[in-house]
Amino acid sequence: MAQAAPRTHARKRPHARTHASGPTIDTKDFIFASLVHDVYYQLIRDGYFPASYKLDADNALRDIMLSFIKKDDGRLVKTWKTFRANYIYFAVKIFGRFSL
Amino acid sequence: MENLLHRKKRFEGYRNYFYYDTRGNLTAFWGHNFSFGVISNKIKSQCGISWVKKYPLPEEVGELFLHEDTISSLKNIIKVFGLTKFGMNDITNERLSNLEALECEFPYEVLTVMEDMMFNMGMSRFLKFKRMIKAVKEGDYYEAAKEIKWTDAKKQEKLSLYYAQINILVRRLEDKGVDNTFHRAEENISLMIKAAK
Repeated sequence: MAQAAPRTHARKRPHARTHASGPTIDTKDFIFASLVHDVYYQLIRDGYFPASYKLDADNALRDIMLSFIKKDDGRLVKTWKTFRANYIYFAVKIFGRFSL
Repeated sequence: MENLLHRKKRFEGYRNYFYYDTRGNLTAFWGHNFSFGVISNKIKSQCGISWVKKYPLPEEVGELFLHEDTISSLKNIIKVFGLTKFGMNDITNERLSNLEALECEFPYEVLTVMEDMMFNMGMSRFLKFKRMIKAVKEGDYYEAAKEIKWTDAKKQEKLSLYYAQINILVRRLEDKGVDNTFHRAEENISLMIKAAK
């Protein structure tokens, strides 16, 4: 189990929420996915999670976006949304580290 | 005071992954709400839930949040009932962090009930229970117990929002076929009556 940094005081500020930031369009699926992603990053910044959780955050972002276009039987149909989910994934994978 | 945490763990279901509660708030662990804005049911229904369990969250972090939420609720309780009831001059996180050493004028049962209600409803909704707060301040715990259940304890016509909300929750769990469901509002009321005796 990964060890989070020890915390001895109560949290003082609320969690940060930036929505989908950067050169992108705020579609519903991306807003939904970015919400979970923002929580992950905030928890890493606050020292609750170790930095290794960035990988989970980025993967979750892509998975959530893809879950919007999955068929009922779990089949994934390749559309422009699949491409979008992937390029956003690589963007946060590369540039996300600067916000941690 | 450590029992506060155990009690909350018993009441709140534990999930080691992110999920959206019935109101669309992002939640994880023992009912910790991340207050990141609300997702509508329509969007929730469009998104599959297969992703959630793929990314388990560490339990230690859940414990931290549970502790912080308890401290936050206690802080609000102290603000409502006054520092003198807790033998304090000011509220410090360091003082509250040590739950075992926390002392108060109320019986322990009353404090746990108040803390539980504060955790569930938040400050603004808790303050709507004016008659209950007054009864607790005056030490009339039997009256306070009635005020938890009814909007007007004298008429006893309409259930309070808190009690009604727990009713809905229990009914939903029973519909799902969950065994050993318990009514936490009823348990809180019986604790208050116990404190009155």
